[in-house]
Parts: sequence; structure tokens; C-alpha cells
Amino acid sequence: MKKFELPKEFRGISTKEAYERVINSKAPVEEPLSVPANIDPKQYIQVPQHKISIATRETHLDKNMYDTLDALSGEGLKMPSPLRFMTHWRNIHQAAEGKRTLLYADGTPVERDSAVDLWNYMSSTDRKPFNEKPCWTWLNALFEEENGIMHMVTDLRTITQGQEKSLAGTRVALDSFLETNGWADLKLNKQGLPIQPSNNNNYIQGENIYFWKPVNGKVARFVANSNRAGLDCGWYPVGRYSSLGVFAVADAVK
Amino acid sequence: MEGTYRNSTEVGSLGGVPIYMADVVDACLIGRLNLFLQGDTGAGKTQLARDAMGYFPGKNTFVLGRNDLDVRELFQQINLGKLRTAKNTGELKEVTSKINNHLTVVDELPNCVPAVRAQLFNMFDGYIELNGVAYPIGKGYSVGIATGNIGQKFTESSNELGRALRDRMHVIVDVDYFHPTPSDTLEILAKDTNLRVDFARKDEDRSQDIISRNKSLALQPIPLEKIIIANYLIHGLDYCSKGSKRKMKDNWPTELEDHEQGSDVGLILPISTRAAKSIVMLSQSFDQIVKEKGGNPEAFESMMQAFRFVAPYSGILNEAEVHKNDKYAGNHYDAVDAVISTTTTQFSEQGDNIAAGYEMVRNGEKDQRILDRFTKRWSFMKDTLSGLAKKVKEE
Repeated sequence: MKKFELPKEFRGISTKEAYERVINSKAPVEEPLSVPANIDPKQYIQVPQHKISIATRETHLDKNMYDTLDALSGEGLKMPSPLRFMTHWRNIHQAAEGKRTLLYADGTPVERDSAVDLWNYMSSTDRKPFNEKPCWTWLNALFEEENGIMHMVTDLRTITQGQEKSLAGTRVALDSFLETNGWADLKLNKQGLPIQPSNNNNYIQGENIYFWKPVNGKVARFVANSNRAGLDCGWYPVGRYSSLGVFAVADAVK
Repeated sequence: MEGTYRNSTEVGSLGGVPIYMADVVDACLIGRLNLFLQGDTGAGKTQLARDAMGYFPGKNTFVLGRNDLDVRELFQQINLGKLRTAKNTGELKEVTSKINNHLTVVDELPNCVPAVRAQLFNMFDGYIELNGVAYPIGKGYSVGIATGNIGQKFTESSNELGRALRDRMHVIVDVDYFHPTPSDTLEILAKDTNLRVDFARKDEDRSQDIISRNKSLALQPIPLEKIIIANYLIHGLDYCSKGSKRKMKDNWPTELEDHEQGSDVGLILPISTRAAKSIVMLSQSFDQIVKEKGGNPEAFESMMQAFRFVAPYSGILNEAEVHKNDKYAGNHYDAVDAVISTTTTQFSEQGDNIAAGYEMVRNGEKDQRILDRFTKRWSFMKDTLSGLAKKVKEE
């Protein structure tokens, strides 16, 4: 790129004064979303980009993916897709840095301290404040490879046939994504998967995550533990752990 | 431009100075932009092109498009007859490198068969192609002007010639919309009744002047505002309720929401990156010409003037809407003016946010409070400003 000159005015408007005006004006949060009746609105934070709210902590612990989906469905809730979860994750980061104001599901603002606390819960390797519990959630994505092209199935539901359980949903071909396991920066494709490796070969909170590339027949989860935060697209749907749950999603009520 | 062509119809104005058709040709030469002049017989297209040849005496090629013209004859015409005897690539290069042809003018280009047309387009861009190898001609500066009368619908996608013109010509002007004034035609008629284009007059060689102006233009930094405007035309005009017009492909504009059908969302597609470069270069050229005339061009106005000459026949307008809507009645320039009107409003409304974005870039840090100001068709600014801030930080 040619070097460009950065003017101090844009069409007669002082950039410095405009900057002050914009940052001192009311934060441009989207209209508050209507609150679904079945949730405690103080336990959910709005994700304005997707017109949803996401729970502040995992619920439905110690269930495999099939049972988690069934339980959520029965309560009118959903499992977050990688894109929705990662958008929320980045929102929380920005809120923790004071760069954006998020709202609880009832429209009241999330205090900065609460945002910092939540950000640390979702990304810090220091797990002592959280009784060594990792942040660990199922994500709404099953990966299927066909003719060498990786697809993502989302909006998943559990199909039960006798003792057998399987997953079904809406399938889309994945946009370009990082095709190796490793540290990835936070630039994401339209399905919420990283697209390029990180410049750092170790975990830097808020700058990179560890990425396990999609594996045919496997599902996605997000984890932040004492080692790192990472997006795993090669997880087994049958796995269950006492600390593994789901950040439940509530749609806005129209 | 000095010459025989007379047309004092203002085709635009910039910085308080009127722009005439001859200025558009000058701007294309300075910006090294290939120009196609579309219009009725006798509209003065060939005379305009002839006047441009006057800048490059002995360094231009005039080709009269005929359907029996073949590539061999074309090459003989530009002293490349020796190509057939060249024994190897080195000899070919030696022959082509001696061709001091800066301007190629093709009268009635649509008459040429596709193979000849392709070589002519190559010559416009400064090379000829032999057996899959490109051989440069023109010694670093070459440009083309072509004329033709192929009707208004030539930019429709089904038209092979239209596609070729859109791919290779940077600026397409329908001169019928900028007809000479009655006083011009009075002067033209009073001067003489010669029906032929004047090719005989002696011209002063101004090729070095044009070339050096082109070089200095290429070295000039492009104002950030122009880059933002170009990005708006590439990305902002892509926005629609379905996400992206480009991705809608043939479903655009029929599957847009009703409220979008009557707006610029349903009227125009985003420009290509290539067209954006043409607009920026034409704008820079206009600025230079206008400054020489004592004007004070402003970046937004200049870019919109350039957009007005690049967009109308670049294949991005909804042809059905241009023809069926009484507001445009088939006039591509009126349709683009409607887009310019909306763009002007958009930039006025976003003035504070863009200015604040500049300051964020200066700080070298992303600031979500600023970036969140840009939504919908302005979403592209988030990435634009973040990228610029990162660049500033790195520097």
C-alpha cells in the first residue's frame, strides 16, 4: 500500500473533535431485545449481532451432546454455534476492555467489573478464582466431509432410533478456514472458525486461541483451562464430564 | 486539448471549473485510461480521437476497423511485418521493443473480428501477444481510444462485444449525451464544409508532457478520502438485506426486498476493484486538469465526477430499471446521478463517524465505540479502519 497522509479533517470536520463527540455520546447499543419468559434475564447477556442472549455460565453439566441438545430443546433454548459463541466471546473481551457496553437480557448494562470477571472466566489460564473449573461448552456444529469438502451441520437436533442416537441439522460447505491444528488469530470465517495462524506460538489471552481443525463426524466445543483457550472441532459427541456444559442461547422474542 | 473538435457542452464541473469532453479525453491520456467513445455517426467521435493523436505525432497508430482486417495486416500497419522472420523470442523482443507507439486509435472498433479486437486491446495496454507470450510495445506508456456506434444496450451481459469492452476499456462515454451546443455547430459549419476528419494538419509533439504527467500522477499519494470512497463503491454498494448483491448473482435484483427495489440497492451493483482503480486514477487526472485551470477540486466531488464517467456503461446498472423507470428513461447518466445523490447523502450523514474513525486510525488502536458506528452498508469501514489503525501502529 502507498503511504497515505492522514488528514486532520474530514470534509471540514475536525477528526479530533469528532472523535471526542463520538466516544462521549451514548454507546450505540442496538435496541434492547425482548426477554424470553423462560430465562433469568440477569443470567443472560445480549449478543446484538445475532439478536440472541447467551448465558453467563454453562448449564446442563455432565451431559453428552445428544442429551444436552434434547434438554435445551425442551426448555426452548439452543446451543450456540461457533460463530455465535465466538462473537459473544469477542464482545465480552471488548466489554472487559471498556470498549463496548453490553446489556443483560433485560436491557440493563453489564458493569465493567462483571465483564472483566466473565472475560477471565472465558479466557484466563488462572483458574483459581473459579475453583479450577474450566470454561467448557458444547457448540452447535457437526463436521462432515464429502468429496474432499468439509461441511458444517448446525441447528442440530438429536435423532433417536432405538438405542442409537445421531445428529441432524442444516448443512453448509465451510468457507476457507485454517486447515491445521495450532495457534490461530481471531479472524474468523462466516461459520466462526479461524482462518489464519497466529504469529505467536503460545497462548496470549485475547489475541489467539488454539484451534483443532474440523474432523469428519466430530463436533465442536470451546474450552478455556489452565493451559489455554481453544476451539476444538474434533470432539466426540458422546463425551461427558462434570465440568462440560453449555452456554445456553435464548432467542429474542418478536 | 487543442484541435478541430468543438464542444463547449459542460459534461461536469469540479472545483468551480467546468469540465468539457476534451478534458475527459485529456484526463484519460494523463491517467493512461483506455477510452471508448460511443455515439451516433457524425457526433464527432473520430475528430475527438484524431485530436488526441495530435499529442503524439509519429508515435500513434490509427486503425480503421473493418471486418476483413486480420492480425497480420494489423501488425504490418504498425511496422511489425518483420515478426514473421524473427527466429526466436529474443529477435521478437528486439522488433517489438522498437515500436514507439504511445496511442492507438481504433475507429469503428465493433467492426473488427474478435481476434483483431483482442490484439488491439493488448496494444492499448502496451503489448502484443504472440503464441502466448506478451511482447511490450510503447516504451512504458501506451493507451487506446476506440470509437463505435453500437447502441445503448451493448453493456448487457449477453453481448460478447459488450463484455470485451467492459473488460478492457476503463472509461466508456456515450457522446450523444454531450452533444455540441448550437454555437459550436455554428462555428464548425462556418469554418468549412469539409465532411472529412482532418488528419493532415501538423501537430506539436506533446508526448513527453503527457508521459511525464502520467508518471508524476502515479507517484502522487492518493488522499485517504478517495480510498474510503472507492471502498464504499466496492463494498458499501454491495450491501443489501440478503447480505451481498455479488453473492446473489443472477437473483439480484429480483429477490431483493420490496423497499430495496426502488432504491440504489436495486439500481446498481458494486463496482469491481479494477473499476475502482480507474475511478481513482481518473479523479486524480481531473484534479490535475482542474488545478491547471485555477480550480480547487475537492476529493468527494472529484471521485463522483470520475464515477460518473466510469460507471454508466460498466455493466453494473440494472438495465431493466434504467429503461422502465421514467426517472431515467434509458439515460445511464441520470441513473448514475441518482446513485451519486444517495452516496452524497450517505457521506454527509456519516461525516462525524468517518472523521472520528480517522482519529482512531491516528491513535493506532482499534476502538469498538467508533467501529460500532458503522453498520449495514457502512460495515466495511470496521475492517478498513481496523486495518489502517494496525498499519499505523506497525509503522
